[in-house]
Amino acid sequence: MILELSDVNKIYPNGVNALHDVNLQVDEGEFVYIIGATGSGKSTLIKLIDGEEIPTSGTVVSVGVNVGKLRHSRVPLYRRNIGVVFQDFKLLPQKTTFENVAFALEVINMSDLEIRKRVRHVLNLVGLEDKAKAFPRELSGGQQQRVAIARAIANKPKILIADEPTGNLDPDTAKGIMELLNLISEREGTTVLMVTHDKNIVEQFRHRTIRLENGYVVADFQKGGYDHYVSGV
Amino acid sequence: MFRAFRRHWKEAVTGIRRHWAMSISACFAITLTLALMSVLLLIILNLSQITMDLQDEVKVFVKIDNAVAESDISQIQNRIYAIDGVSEVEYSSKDNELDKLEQEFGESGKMFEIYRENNPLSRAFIVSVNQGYSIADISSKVALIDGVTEANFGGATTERYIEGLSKIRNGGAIVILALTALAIFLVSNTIKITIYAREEETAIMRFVGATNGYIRGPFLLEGIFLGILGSIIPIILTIFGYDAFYNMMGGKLITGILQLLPVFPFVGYLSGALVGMGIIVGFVGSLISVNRNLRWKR
Repeated sequence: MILELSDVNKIYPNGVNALHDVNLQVDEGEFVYIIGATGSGKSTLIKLIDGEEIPTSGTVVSVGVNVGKLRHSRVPLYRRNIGVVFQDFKLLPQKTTFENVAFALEVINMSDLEIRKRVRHVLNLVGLEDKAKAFPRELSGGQQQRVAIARAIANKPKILIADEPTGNLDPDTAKGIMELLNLISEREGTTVLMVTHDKNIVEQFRHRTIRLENGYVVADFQKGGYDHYVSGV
Repeated sequence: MFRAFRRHWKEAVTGIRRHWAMSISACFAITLTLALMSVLLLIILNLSQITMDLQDEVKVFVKIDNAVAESDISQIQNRIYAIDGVSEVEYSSKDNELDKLEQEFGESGKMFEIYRENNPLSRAFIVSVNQGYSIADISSKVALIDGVTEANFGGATTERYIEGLSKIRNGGAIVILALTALAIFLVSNTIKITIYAREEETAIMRFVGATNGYIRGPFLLEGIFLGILGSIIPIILTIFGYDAFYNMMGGKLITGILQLLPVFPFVGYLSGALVGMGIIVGFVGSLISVNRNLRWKR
């Protein structure tokens, strides 16, 4: 088991109770959707897993690390096990594709030679080997997200967290990104946690689906699909 | 280690280039501060030198009656020691007194050599006094001791002079501290703006697993670099300014007895101190900003 949440509660200092008694287990190599309306607790769940937030009670154990107990200075070392992809890509505009991906490896003090090898490999994997010298503004939204994915997986993370990665993309482009995420999951054996509220995607690419509502896990369905979980159905 | 430094350096230069206006203003602030600091240091260090020179005069010079037997000298010494406020009693023999006299006259001092055999000078004690004690009081007490013919001191004016100088020194030190704090504040504000401008970058750095130290690196280097840059003009001003001042005054202060510190190596030490101050100010300033702005994000 690569990720386990036990009786997790999260209450923010402003009194908002974002998660209630969440129990969740994810095995290595699984592809999991986390779905739910805005304010259902999806983002909080992600932040608890990547170490941004500390659970008010309960434990989050990920890749063998008790994430909530990490000291501030140890969080970065834990994060090297996790890749994160955002809805708005978060690429550095003044850096090229190559530099954006290399940046993630520079900060963990990899040698230049290794960086070049690794960046070429992941750019090849995401299908952007010919865009290495392009700046983000010269790329389409889908291409930018591919760069972001390349950056997230450059360090061979055990878990890839994708926070609405297709949220800003048109359906066709979104499909391409989904195929890429599936490829990564299958070929690299990376565990993927994907937050989304794109009904089509969840229907089209079936994976285990966890539905959050008002901070509660209301459904956890191994075969996937969206409609089965609309409340009241 | 070196690899990280190279990468940090690249980021730091980019940071300065991207916010050159702000960087220049921080540099300018450091320059002004260091220039002021340099002037104050020049004054303080010269005053210290003068104080030390004067300190020698704040001693009681005690002449011993020639009739006192050699064996009783230490008894008198003990009695002087017993006076409240006396810190040191140094004995000076007739020969020693003659040596001192010859030294005072320099080259022509040799003429006193004829008195070596039949020395007319008195044996003496040179009595040092703890700070805070009235040298006049102690002097008059020493004069009352049997076997003492005379007890002289530099005079109460010297005493007041030294007190005044030490007040100026302390005041200067306080101003320097205040200036340092101000410069640190200005640097930390500049770095804060760099940090804001690179907030997204540092956020991404955190997400891809950069340690706190790694994220701090470029900002600290930037601060240090600004500090060094800001110290250049003050150093040039110090070297040429002090040299010019020294030559103008002929190496002396108004009265002529008070010597200024010679230009070399004094300005060398001072320049070193200024670069050091620049580095410290830049480092501490950016450290404050970086720590404050890194802490609230996990």
